[in-house]
Amino acid sequence: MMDLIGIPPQLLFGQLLIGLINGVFYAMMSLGVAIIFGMLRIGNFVHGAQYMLGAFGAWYLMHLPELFPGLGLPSLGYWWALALVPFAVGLIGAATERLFIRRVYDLEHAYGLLLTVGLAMVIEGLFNVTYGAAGQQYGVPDSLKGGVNLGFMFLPMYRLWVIFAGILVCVATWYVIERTKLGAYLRAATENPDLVRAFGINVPRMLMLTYAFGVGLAGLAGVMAAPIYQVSPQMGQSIIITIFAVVVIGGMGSIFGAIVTGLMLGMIEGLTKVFWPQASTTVIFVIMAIVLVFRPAGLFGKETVAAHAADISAARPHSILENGRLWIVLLGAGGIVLPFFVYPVFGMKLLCLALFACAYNLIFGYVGLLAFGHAAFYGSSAYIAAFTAASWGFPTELAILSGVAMATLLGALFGWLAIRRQGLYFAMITLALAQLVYFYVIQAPWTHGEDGIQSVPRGYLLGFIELNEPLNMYYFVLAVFLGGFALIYRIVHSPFGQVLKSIRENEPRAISLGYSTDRFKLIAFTLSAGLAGLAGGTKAIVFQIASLADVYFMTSADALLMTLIGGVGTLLGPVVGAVIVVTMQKEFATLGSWVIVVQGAAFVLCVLFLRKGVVGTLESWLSAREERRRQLDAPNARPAPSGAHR
Amino acid sequence: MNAAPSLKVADLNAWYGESQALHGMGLEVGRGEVVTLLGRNGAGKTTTLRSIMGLLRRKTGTIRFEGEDIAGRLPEAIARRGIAYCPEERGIFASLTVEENLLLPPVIAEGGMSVDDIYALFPNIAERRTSQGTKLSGGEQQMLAIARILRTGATLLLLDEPTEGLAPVIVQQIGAVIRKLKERGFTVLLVEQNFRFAAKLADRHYVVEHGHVIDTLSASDVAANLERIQNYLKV
Repeated sequence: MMDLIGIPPQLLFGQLLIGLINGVFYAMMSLGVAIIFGMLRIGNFVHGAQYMLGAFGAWYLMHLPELFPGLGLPSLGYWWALALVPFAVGLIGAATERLFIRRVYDLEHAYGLLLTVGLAMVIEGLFNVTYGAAGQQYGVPDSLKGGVNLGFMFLPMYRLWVIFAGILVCVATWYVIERTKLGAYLRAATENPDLVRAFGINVPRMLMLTYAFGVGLAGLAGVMAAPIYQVSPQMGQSIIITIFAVVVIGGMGSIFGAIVTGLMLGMIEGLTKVFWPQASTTVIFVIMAIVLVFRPAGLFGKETVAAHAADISAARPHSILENGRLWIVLLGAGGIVLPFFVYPVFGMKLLCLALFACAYNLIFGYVGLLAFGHAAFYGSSAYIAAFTAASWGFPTELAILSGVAMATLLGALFGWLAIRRQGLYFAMITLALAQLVYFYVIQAPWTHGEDGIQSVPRGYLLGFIELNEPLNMYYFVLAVFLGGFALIYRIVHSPFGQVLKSIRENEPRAISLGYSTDRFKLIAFTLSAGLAGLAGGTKAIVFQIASLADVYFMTSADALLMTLIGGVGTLLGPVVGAVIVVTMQKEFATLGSWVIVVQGAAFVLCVLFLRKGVVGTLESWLSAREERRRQLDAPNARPAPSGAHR
Repeated sequence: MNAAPSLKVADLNAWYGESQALHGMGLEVGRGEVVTLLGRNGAGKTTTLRSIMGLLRRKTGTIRFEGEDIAGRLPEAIARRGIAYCPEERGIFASLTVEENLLLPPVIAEGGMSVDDIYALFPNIAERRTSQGTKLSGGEQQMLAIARILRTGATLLLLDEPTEGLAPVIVQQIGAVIRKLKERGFTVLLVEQNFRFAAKLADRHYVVEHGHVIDTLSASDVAANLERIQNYLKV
């Protein structure tokens, strides 16, 4: 057969087929994510873990005799797995909704995001502890062995079956939601759950079943994937962020869009593998960025009215906890004596992450934008600082400043793309864009892949202060931190900062007062990115390494966690959060592979029990005390309503 | 009052967050009666309906429907006992067709109207059954919002300002519909600001102010007390 543009047809069609199969999985997964997002307003980060559960479920059924030797259980093959596992995974989903997800419906999206990230970490961590990184093999069922020779290529039967069955499941789901009575309930409850309840429909139960169904779809995809990909604890992690990008491209809330986009992007990915292999991991994220420029609502999405973001700041403006002039002195004094009580390295790690969290708090706490890709700024700055210092021999200050410049540029670009959307959408977009940076760093030659850039020289400050001396380095980092902290305080208390807070509290109102809120958000986002870069660049010099962990999405999740644990939108919250998280990580370092599980559990517990954060809780205690005093002074004050039952 | 009580609300207090919206609200609706709640904006009329329906959770007091206290129940449980609610903003679903909107509320008891009867009562809706719900005109949407709660077998209808923002000719049509519903034996609790409309329909009127009832009038009192009522409602 003729070559097409110099590409042998076997290769072309082979990759297209692989792309189509990937596309089927993308479609099935993003369908579940889209349904769950549409109905429950939850960005289901656990979806990847649930997909992995499906694959492991199939593998367990196959190995029942070895797993439970005394019981005389039979080995149940593929078809049994196909029938039983999605149901079982769906049940687990229902339990998850009942126990965890239900508690965050009425809260800001950040909590749902952190909760599902935490659950995913716990599940994937547990499997990682048990099975390690190695994949388990799962054979193709006998009835689907063999293949069809299409002349130009050999098509295995199993893959044909996956394409057929996967598309059938997608179409059936679409039909149920768009054309049946049950689907009408779902669509109506998405628009106005209260009214649907007032018609006599048990909406909470319906939400639970919807979640279970979406999760069951992930389980089904997992079973179908088992014979194609290796059954491994990491299989869900690597797909979930791509799935989020697919949902963004397809258009939030569009079932049809999720299916078509999934299939299409799988094929485009396959084609890219033929023509430009290096770009194949990033092509989906690039397409997402392009789609966002031209159709912010996604290819098939309808423009939705932005839901008014809940104001989750715990700060009271005149509280002593918000007095920056006082606290910068106290923090400085504390910082000066700190190295006499802890190792300077520990102190420096703490200061870098505290600055990172403060930078994140600037955009999340003060503007109310749920960014979820700050690892891109932290990490890219770390890489640039490390590279310029190690390879080009830049002096330390200049290396860090180069990192900051890089992070600021990226921040301006990503911010420009992302501020078109709000809420969870904003989170998914920033996450996907950060993932683009991550894949670039994995592949680019100058970043040295898994090794990262090592042995970065610390150099001399101002050309003569030896930074290899731990205390010198420490006090330099302290100065950087205090500078960043002071700058953020200054920004937040400037007229510009007042506008930011007004955007957080009521954006339509800020617009109607004549502020171009998008511009304010973009400037704040860029500043936040630059400051995150300052933290990342400094970190690269301190630890003399820039590594993949710096750009990995967990770093973004850590920023969110530190801010939430400490207290969102408070001056001191991120610092307190950083102290807690860094101490926790140090204590848990001995746990080995359990560390992911414990950290995930911390995410979940923080969302369930420590929503206001430490500083926020302290703040409400202070304000309650003040209130009591006021009431003692004015005994005739109207009593609060009592005896009301819920 | 001559009919057996269908709904009896007593001592109802309700809150939105920290602010109290109802202060000792009390009313009775007999079976087969049409009763209105009259009052200015913010008097607590809609809040009363939402409390009866269970959509407002923070409340104290008793709400008895057909002899049973429903004050602590969830909205879906209250709906299944035979109360149907038509909200002020109509609540037509954009993602559903007209017919899907109409057929959405599940049948909870026998005795509801058949779909054919409903189409006979609302011919405009029959013509547009395949359109998207929110593509209807305001008046048609209001008709649809009323129509869809007639199928379910609910006996007590809570209608929140069905005439708001509609042309006089549509208001007349809605008046005719409510009269037919009364003939069919439905009990109706109607929230209205349009007194001229309500006066022609209702058996009794409650005037609501500051979250409680300040006056009660029967249909026969209305003619003699027009000025008093105008005073209650004028802004």
